Amino acid sequence: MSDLDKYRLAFDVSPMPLLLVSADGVIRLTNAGLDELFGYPVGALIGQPVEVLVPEDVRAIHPDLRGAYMRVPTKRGMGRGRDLTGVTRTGGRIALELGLDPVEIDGATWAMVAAVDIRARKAQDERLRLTLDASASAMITVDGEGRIIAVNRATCLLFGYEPDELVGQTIEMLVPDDQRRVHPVYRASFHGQNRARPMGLGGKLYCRHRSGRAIPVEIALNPVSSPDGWVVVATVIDLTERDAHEREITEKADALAEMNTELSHFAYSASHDLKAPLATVAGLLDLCLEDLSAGNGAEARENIAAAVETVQRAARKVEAILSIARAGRSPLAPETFAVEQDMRAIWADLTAGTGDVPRLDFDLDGAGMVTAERQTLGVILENLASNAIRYADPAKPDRWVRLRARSDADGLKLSFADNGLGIPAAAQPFVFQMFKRLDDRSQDGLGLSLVQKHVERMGGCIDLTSDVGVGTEFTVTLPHPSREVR
Amino acid sequence: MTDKSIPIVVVDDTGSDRYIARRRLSRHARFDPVLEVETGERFLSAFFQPPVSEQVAGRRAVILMDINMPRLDGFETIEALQDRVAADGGPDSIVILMFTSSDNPEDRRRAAELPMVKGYIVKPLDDAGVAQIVRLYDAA
Repeated sequence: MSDLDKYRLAFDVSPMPLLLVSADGVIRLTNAGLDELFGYPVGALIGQPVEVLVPEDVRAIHPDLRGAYMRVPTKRGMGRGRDLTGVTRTGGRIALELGLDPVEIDGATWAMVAAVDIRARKAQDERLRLTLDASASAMITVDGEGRIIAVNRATCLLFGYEPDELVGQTIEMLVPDDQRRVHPVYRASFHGQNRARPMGLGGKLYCRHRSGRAIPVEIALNPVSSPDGWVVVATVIDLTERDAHEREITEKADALAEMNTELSHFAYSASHDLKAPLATVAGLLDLCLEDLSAGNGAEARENIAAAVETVQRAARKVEAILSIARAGRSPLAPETFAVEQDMRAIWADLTAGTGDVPRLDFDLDGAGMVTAERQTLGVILENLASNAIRYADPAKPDRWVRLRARSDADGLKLSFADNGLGIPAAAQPFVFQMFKRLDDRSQDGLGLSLVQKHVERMGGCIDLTSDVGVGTEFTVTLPHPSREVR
Repeated sequence: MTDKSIPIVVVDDTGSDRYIARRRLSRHARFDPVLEVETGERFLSAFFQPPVSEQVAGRRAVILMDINMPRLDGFETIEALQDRVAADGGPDSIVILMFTSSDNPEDRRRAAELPMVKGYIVKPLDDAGVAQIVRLYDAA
């Protein structure tokens, strides 16, 4: 029995597709499994060059590869064999794993090729890859030496690398610069334990993006026993958005806390400023009762008059507080009007019956036409003018108040200046605070609060510059009013 | 109770409140005629000059101090007074009582923190309030 006959016998009973190739690349023997795998009738491949089973793109160089193998024939076992592609009779491509064995056939060295159809395994690998790529979390598989074995798509997106830029590198390329030196120590100790755990022990954890930017992350480490030994799968969750969200919540909480402070400040002030007149009135009326019992009608009348005055002042204060509350909403339709005319009317009302008032000057561009909520602007100007009159400097022979108005592309800028007493620097931060009275000349301590509330509601701002002995200037900047009125 | 009369200063920017205090206190035998001051600042200068300084010299005076006043409020006035007494010395002893319509816990807390403040009198001042002032004065 020749060697070939012995192999033929073995081939026929093997379930694995097998073929024998002689040194010249001619197929000498196949079994039914191989014929079937490549779609040939039984025995049809015998006598053909082995290249008929090789894809076109490598067919030209295949004889050289084959020749090289035959010069130094070694056994190449399955599993360690290479994944290759074979071509069927009809031109279909099939993924194969091949094992090569040099065999002695009647004095010559031939190659025995075992082929395994790995299409099913390839498809499964592909399904696994697709699944991992669909994960929103970055997953990185690292071997015992810290070398990256595999990454999913989310990893590439998160770190800004292509897969082949990562695979084969050490994991330290994704570790922030300041941690790079110590990281291998942590890594080695983790590999020694092989117990799943989150990384970072509760502290803030960062990875390094390709650009060098630090990415806030959460990382879970899972040791996995693979055919290549223990590997670690690190699941990395990007916390950038969560951190931004947390910051946003903190900012909102701060804004609320600020509002709350403002509210308790208001409640505190109200407990003084609204309760005080009631206590005064109660005290006065109580004395009135005594005066009336004692038959002292004159004293009682005076006390009643004082009580009435206190009540009227308190009513005005309540009205002022309500207008501040109302100033927070209900915008009015803007009008275009001559600001000088309105200012003169306000000035006349404020100074009616008083002799020695400052001179009212104007510095207006063009015809002094402005577009704004006319009534609101009136309230603002009235309060500023009223302050300027009360805080005029009696020591100055020439006392003046000047309204300047400028309209441009950005909006309207009004400045209300005087050469009055000026506001001490220490008091300036408080002038807009509700109920804050600067001194005896102050009224209810609400005027500038109302002005500021109106200005802010219209989307503008109010600034103050003042020097004691020189004067005060309030500057109101208003954007162009929107035509929409809610 | 001793018969020694008590010098008393009311610091309050509201005229009617000073009037009420004056009337209530004048009916009580223990008190000297009430000295009135309209603001904290005026109090700080008046306290160290005649006639106030003369009247309180060598005696323990009561100061009824309003809280809510323009410029220096009652607390700020007392702090300034403490600083001044610490620096230059001053009247031997004074009994400061906060005098306010506010029953606000925040104000009571601040009052309790000031060592010179010995009590808290809620407006309007009536006979019970006057009796309380005398009690606090005798206890201080």
